[in-house]
Amino acid sequence: MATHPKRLGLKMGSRTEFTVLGDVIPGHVDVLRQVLREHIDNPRTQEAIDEIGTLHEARFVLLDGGKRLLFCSSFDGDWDTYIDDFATTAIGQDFDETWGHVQGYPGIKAPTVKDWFQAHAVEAGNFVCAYPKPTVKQVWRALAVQQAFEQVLDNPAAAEALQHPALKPLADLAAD
Amino acid sequence: MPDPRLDPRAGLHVGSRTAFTFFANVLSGYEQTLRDLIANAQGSPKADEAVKEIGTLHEFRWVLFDNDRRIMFCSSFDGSWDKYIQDFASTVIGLMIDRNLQHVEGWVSIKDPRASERLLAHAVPAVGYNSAYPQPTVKQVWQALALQQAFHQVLDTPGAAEALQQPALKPLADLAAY
Repeated sequence: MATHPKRLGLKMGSRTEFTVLGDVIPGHVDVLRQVLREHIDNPRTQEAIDEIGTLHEARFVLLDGGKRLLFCSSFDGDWDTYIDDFATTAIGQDFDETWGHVQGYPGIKAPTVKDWFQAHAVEAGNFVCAYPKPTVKQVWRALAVQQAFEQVLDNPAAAEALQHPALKPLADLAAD
Repeated sequence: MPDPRLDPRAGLHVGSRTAFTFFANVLSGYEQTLRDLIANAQGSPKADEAVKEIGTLHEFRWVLFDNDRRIMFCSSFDGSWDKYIQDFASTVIGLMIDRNLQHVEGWVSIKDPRASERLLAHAVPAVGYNSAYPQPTVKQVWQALALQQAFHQVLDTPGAAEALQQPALKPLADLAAY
């Protein structure tokens, strides 16, 4: 397994926060704002997040009157894998279209991209989550179980079926 | 179109959650004090308990930047801005906010009637926001995780495979087969 230098980002449970700040190239803020707006409505972005399966959430903020771009995300696992995953999905394209308006950004597939992000990262001093342990995939799985359970409860025959002693933990929750 | 439940300054929203991002200037001479306060609160069981009590706050972080001259508070939450601020004021998260923001310019107190406006005045709405599971609220995620735990417990029980063969339980049996 490849080893990497210590990466910036505070960890809680399965998730790590990642916070990056860059200087917007002068004159590019309007185009950048437009690109970010387009990405919100583009189903490709959500599809790529689904494909990556390790990114809990991410936001972009333009601060200092649009002179700087801030990115805040929380993700599962190893930071290097996280960046590698970006490069192989549509998120990589979104990133290039976005960070391409920031000074010095080398491109998601450039060999120096990880160094660039680390040089522009700022580690949080404090990071708290309401459900820190489950990974994105575990949350998805739990939501799928919940959906299946709701489907079961909609069936009039479910109450009787759940009386089987082996199913007691589920019957207890159904009674809640 | 902005969500009528929210002041647009509170942030961009996706599904049930809103991204709130607040910036302030650290009072000169208090940079290290603030850095220590924030770091010492990391892993505090009180913060975890307050997050459980609030039940609408997905996650938050405090970040010092620009050589500790500025601070950012970045959170994602469910529901209305007014409720969010009221919940802060009534839990230990409010104390944490006061303890940190007393060292920044222009702060009052979380219980001050002007607090909400001060926070919004220094907030910058995100221009991009995504989540891997935007729809469920914090409480819905907790419920789903509790259910998943019960489901795992069932699957470890002798006789469960047979019990799940009942037609009414097919959606669960299908998941168990994964």
